[in-house]
Amino acid sequence: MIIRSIAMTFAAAALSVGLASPSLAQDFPQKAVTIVVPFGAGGGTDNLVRTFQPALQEALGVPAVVENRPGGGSTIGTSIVAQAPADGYTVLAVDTAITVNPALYDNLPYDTLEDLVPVSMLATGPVILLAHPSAEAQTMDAIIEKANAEPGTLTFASGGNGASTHLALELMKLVTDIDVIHVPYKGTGPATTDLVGGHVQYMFNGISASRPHIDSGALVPIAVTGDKRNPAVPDVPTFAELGYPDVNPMSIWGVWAPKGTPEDAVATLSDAFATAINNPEVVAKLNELGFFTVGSSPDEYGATAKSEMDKWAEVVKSANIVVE
Amino acid sequence: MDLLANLALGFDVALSPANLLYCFIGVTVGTFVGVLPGIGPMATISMLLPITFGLDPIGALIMLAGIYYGAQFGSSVTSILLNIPGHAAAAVICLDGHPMAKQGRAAVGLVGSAIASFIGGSLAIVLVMQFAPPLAKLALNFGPAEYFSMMLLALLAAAVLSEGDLLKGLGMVLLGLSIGIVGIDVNSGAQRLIFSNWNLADGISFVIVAMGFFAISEVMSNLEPHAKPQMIGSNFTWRELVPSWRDFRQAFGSIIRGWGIGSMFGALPGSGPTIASFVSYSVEKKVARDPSRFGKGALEGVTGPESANNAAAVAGFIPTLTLGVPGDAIMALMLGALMIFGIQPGPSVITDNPELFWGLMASMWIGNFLLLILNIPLIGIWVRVLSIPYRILYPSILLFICIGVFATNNNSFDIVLLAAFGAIGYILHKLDCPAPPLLLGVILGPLIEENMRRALLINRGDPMVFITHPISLAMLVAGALIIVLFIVSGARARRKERQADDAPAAVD
Repeated sequence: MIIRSIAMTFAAAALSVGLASPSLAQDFPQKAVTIVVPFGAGGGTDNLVRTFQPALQEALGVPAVVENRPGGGSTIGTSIVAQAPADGYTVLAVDTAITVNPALYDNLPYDTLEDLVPVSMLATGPVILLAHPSAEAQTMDAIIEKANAEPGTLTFASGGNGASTHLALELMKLVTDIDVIHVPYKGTGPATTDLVGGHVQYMFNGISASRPHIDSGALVPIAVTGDKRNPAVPDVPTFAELGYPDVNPMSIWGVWAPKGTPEDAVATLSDAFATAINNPEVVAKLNELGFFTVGSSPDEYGATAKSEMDKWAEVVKSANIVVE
Repeated sequence: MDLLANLALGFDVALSPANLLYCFIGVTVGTFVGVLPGIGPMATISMLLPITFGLDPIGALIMLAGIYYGAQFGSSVTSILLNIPGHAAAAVICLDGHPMAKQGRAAVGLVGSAIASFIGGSLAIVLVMQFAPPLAKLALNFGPAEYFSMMLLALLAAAVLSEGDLLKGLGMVLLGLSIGIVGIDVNSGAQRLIFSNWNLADGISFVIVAMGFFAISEVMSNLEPHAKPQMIGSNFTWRELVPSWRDFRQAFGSIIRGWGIGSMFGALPGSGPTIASFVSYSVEKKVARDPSRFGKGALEGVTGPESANNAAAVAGFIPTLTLGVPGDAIMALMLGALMIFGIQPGPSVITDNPELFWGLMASMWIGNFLLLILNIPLIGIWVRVLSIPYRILYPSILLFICIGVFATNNNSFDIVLLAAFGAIGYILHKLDCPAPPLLLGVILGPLIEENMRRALLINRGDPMVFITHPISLAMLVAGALIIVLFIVSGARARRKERQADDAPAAVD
């Protein structure tokens, strides 16, 4: 509530600037746009959205209000947007969870493709495979060899069942056909703690959270996903370089609107998000945090989301991840 | 490392007018957040985080930290005066703080808690300054097996919390454990007791249970037609604020023990102020010469936990700053903030950003001092709160609790849950079922389960892991000792009872 009133104050200031701008030729938008972030403040998605929020307000010419609606692994915030009026004034900014959850749960309170329409793909983020220095196998080949020699002994931490850090592991297991122990935690924070303490041996994690531990030597980077090396960790090889091109899970962030939102409103929003995310200052900041910025059209994002959903459905099915 | 030079650097940073102002704003906001029931540091920091992005990183961190430890400072005020905890970590303060107030010793309790907070917090800062890196290394030795044994020990130690009927106490622990099970299981991903309601997927927040059981049910009890107005004098002389030598002696040991307990639980990621204050209370009751004073206004029952939760709040910065691993959700928020500012938390933060680390440490000292001088004069105002008519006071309290519970997740379902737990809490209170064992079940149950299953998973189902790890073994032995002591002292008490029963018969 307080946050809203603060945001509205800023909003009013931004509005007065916005009204003067000549780009406001169409009917939409005429009032503040609410971006629902289905995660808590200070998380990856929240940081991403708040980084480009000022540039977005400039591009839209109206205030953009960020509303955190955390809970249920993004399902609470997502179902709020799915039920919101389809007028373009409420949108959802979400990570890979939107394409993974349909595979994981058969009792979601919404139907992703029936209730929502894609607006724009914002950014992608590679994940990095880390090892504790005490683990015997310190390269991709050595890990595969060790896992084959002693099946079911190597331990891999993750941020939870069905989390992107878990699915990356499942994808690797599927591609390389190895048998290792998955150790889920409540979020990547506690998982990282136990990895640094050497209680588990390996983990997939985001780049920005991993960098301090790589720099200090507490953790050893094995490989990073993505088509090219990541500027944030230029010395770490990609999985493709090491001969595992199919181990390529990426976190993808994008924006969705309720189904039925007028097409021209979706187009306006999509252009504004693309402009904001590709603002040079925003790009520099996000690269530093390990994001690659995109800013796609609705159709491009829709196609990516569809293929991602199919991929994760296959991974979840073959990994036999237990969900009721 | 030259401590003096570092301190000089720290105070240089912290005493700059802007940072001094941020520190003052932080602790003032923290105090009020602590005092207002239901509104905790988590809700406040997540609300304020976005607006700190415009500030300079050191100033922002100083302010956010001030809110965090400041909230621990003020949280005992309503516990003592109204039997309603300011936030979850202060729930245990109600047990002895409120009886003190009923005996007209509210001022003593409030001053004691302010001084205990100050000493616990200040000593913890010294600990962080001198020993943060080695302590962080020590904390890293705690894996799932160690956490399991430690939490089990905490649960056993807290068995002394249960008063009266053993069966009711046990029943409440079990109910607490069941509440703790709700949500998506970490290890298997199974949806447990959520009835396809996604609002329950993350489990039931401890804050909601604590506020329902302590605050809402307390308000309901006071609505009863026969409820007697509380006999708490709102008049006191300033001389009463000076603790007597006897009070001081009584409290001093508990403050030092509280500091030790709080520092330990704070430095370990995953525990934090709430567990620290509960454990401190159990320890005070265990070491007291006359445990029967507890629950009836024992000063150590206030000063121990107060010292512990402040020490834990400060020590929580050890893993966050030196390892880059957050101790709890609030620390995770601050870590997120640091990254937005472009500061990589981790082992190098002390060497790479000395002005940030030492500036924060110095500001915490200044902040604790500000809190002390802010809180003592405020006691006069807080006590006068009691003269507000209940028809105004209680609805306001309910409103604040609802705002606080809502603001954490922006979810109105949490308010429905709060009301439900308030009703359940009231009924159980009427049936003389004690709330503290239930709260412990809610906090510790999930931690015990999660870590036990994780330890077994990593070691491929071999339970010997709990015995082969030395720290874990030591905790289990201590737990076994507590059980033996409990049985022995129980048997002795029964024998005494029998003798007492026999005595009058002999006279006949």
